[in-house]
Amino acid sequence: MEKSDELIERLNKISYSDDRLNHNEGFNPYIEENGVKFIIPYKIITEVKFKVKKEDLIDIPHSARLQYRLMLLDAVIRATVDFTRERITIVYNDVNNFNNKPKLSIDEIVEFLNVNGVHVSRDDIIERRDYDYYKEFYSYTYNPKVIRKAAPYGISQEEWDRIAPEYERMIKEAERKKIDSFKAWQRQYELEHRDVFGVTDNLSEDKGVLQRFKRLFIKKEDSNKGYWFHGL
Amino acid sequence: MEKVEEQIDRDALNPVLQPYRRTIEEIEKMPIIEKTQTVCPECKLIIQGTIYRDGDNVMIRKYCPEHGWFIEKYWEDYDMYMKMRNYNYYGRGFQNPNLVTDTKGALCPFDCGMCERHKSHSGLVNVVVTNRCHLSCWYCFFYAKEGEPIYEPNLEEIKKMFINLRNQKPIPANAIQITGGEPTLHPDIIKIVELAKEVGFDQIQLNTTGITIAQNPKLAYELRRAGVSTLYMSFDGVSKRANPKNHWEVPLTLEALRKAGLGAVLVPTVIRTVNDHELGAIINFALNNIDVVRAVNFQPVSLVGRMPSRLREKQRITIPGAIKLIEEQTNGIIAKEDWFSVPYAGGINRFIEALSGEYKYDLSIHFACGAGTYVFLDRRNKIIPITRFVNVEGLLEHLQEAVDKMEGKSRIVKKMIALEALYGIRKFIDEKSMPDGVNFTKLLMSIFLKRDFASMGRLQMHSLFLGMMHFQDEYTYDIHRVEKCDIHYTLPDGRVLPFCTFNVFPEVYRDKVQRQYSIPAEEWQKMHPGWSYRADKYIRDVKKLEAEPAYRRAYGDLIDYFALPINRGKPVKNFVREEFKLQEEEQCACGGNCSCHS
Ligand code: SF4
Ligand code: SF4
Repeated sequence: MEKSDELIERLNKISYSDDRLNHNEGFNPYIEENGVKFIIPYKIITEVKFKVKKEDLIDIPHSARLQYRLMLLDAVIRATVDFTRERITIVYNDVNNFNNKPKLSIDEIVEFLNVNGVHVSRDDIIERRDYDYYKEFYSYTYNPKVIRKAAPYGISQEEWDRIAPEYERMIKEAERKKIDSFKAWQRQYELEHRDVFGVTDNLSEDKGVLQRFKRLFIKKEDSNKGYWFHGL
Repeated sequence: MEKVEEQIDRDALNPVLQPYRRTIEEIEKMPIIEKTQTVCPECKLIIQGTIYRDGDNVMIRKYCPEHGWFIEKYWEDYDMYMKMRNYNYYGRGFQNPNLVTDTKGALCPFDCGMCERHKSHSGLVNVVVTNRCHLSCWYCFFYAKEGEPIYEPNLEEIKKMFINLRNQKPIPANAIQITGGEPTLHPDIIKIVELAKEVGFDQIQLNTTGITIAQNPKLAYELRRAGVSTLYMSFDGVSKRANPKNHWEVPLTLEALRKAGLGAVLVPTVIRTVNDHELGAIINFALNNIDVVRAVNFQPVSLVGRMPSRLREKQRITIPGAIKLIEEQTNGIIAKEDWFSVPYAGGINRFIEALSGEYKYDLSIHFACGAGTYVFLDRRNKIIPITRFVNVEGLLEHLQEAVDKMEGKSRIVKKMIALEALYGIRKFIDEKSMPDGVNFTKLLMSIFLKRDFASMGRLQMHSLFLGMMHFQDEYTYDIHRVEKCDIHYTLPDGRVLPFCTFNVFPEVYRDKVQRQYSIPAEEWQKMHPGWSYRADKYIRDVKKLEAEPAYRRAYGDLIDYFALPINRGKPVKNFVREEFKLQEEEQCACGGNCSCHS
């Protein structure tokens, strides 16, 4: 374990070395979605898959620890140590990738696995490919797919499948109303604190039907100041 | 200075430390309550944890083949543990988990993101908007120290995280906590809150020291107008010694909140031997400010990271440990029996969901994670915990029975079952013992019938909620707890993580990912001309703050509610008045590291 700790320290230091970062000055960290730019740390990086021996992984708990230890490497973005399939998948920032983040070479990854008791060499690589950080990872985590169903308590899945579209429509409508009522409350709040918000019109003096109607919402919002404890 | 041997002698006699002083042979003979999965604090190997009884304590022991035995306190009350565990249940995880892996979460807690194994939806989600802070608390690992990279997402990036949370299925996150660093240092903090409201969050908490608001009270109005529901404010005690962080500013902050109509939650981190003697005094302080303080959320300390084991054992306190001290320090008025664990209340939500046919929040966290109670302060200044007039357990069982009966029935039959159940609620409420001026039966009916959060809000306006949340650390770690966690964090890479993976393994989650999305300090400096690390820091003028009328009122004019004859008439321990003012050299326990010395 000590050896592995030392190696992590050494590799993390190397991964930041200037010659690995400097040739990438032109890296454009932006991606664009609907006209809005977002910074992402990586674009094309590398995925490598190793075929490993079950006895090297020992069991699931040891595989989990190895996964954790791989993640301690700054240049490793994701790691999956799959005991059942006898496979290790590592998404990492290879020395040849174009960006300004810490990098490692495939030989350093192999060395790391060996120090951690997984006896692999370059020959055990079953796949090595470009990995599109944006398309394969970031886009998924921000738009995850529905992979299963769960009806509300007390309703069968069949019944729920039937009424769900109407429920969705209702929820959208309720969301819209919620925002409107918040806006109404907000306006009233400004009027109540006109000195703070520099409000100059005379709406608050309006004792008309509209104003009284608005207060119905306002009361609701004011009483909704409670504290949220796990939804309590 | 005390001699080391004397200290060791005293430790040997200290009953609080006894469970740590036994031999493994003795420990192995103790009755086992259950087994769980945990991690080795040293190497993070997933190992079996055995939860066992040691007298009144519930302990966890674990053995790592490489690092040996670890013994830690899990819950400091056996009876309470056995009672609370009756209410454990599994909730619904995500229909659209953010991360799907080949291992399907088998390597928990190292498959995090949310994975498909996770058992609860997001209850409250923390969104970090900056890692800059205006203080430099010595124990904090979270803020960017001088020269370290700055993590501060812009508005578009924050919006993207918000929308991701609102897209969760089947139950979108509805409550967020905007946090940092110090979130008020973000130049767009008001716009961030507005954005949160726009995307539909009902509850927006702002986790802050309150210092910025004390300096600029107008900010409280702006935050309230933008949509902040409550301020989540650190408050470790009423004395300067216990609360060097914001003791001087809290009165000014509360004053500003009061005027702006904004509520606060006081958040004491409870550390044995440090501030555990002030728990009653904190509640008394909150009662004195009940017009603005909605809740006190005690957080028994999570001892993350390396520290000497003796110190860890001395400082360790668990939820029942804090609850018992509260009982002691409030003359038994807020007693052990008054608390319930969070999943207790899940029955209420399940009932409302079954009745309405709409998804409602689950409260499916592990029973050992959190506890809470309501206390009412009535017109006669009598303090009454909810359990003195509501048979909470009976009520919840009654509701659960109704939910079970409703399963698979037609709408009309369900409604009839529900009506019958509602009619039966009265028998669980003792109207004679209700707080003067509060009609709890009516309140409860409106919660069930109107099924909105406003009714709950109204209940909170008449009462003080006392909560507890014991965040985990490597020693207390229990995978059965974390896989049910509903207090989450968003990461800028789109993942969503439980609090207790994000903060317990920062090296692979929090710090690692934030570093990927941060900007090196020199670059930050270039992008923000005029910015400097030092300029962010708050410099405290103790004399000026102590001369503030709000300060003197807040600490000098307190009513000791527990000393009133109606509340058993014994003064609360460590109740602070001006005459207890500490000497200059005693003022701060930070060892010269916090900003009051800069
Ligand atoms: S804590 Fe939850 S999300 Fe994280 S690995 Fe475990 S089950 Fe999955
Ligand atoms: S944050 Fe930690 S203590 Fe709280 S519910 Fe989640 S796992 Fe439990």
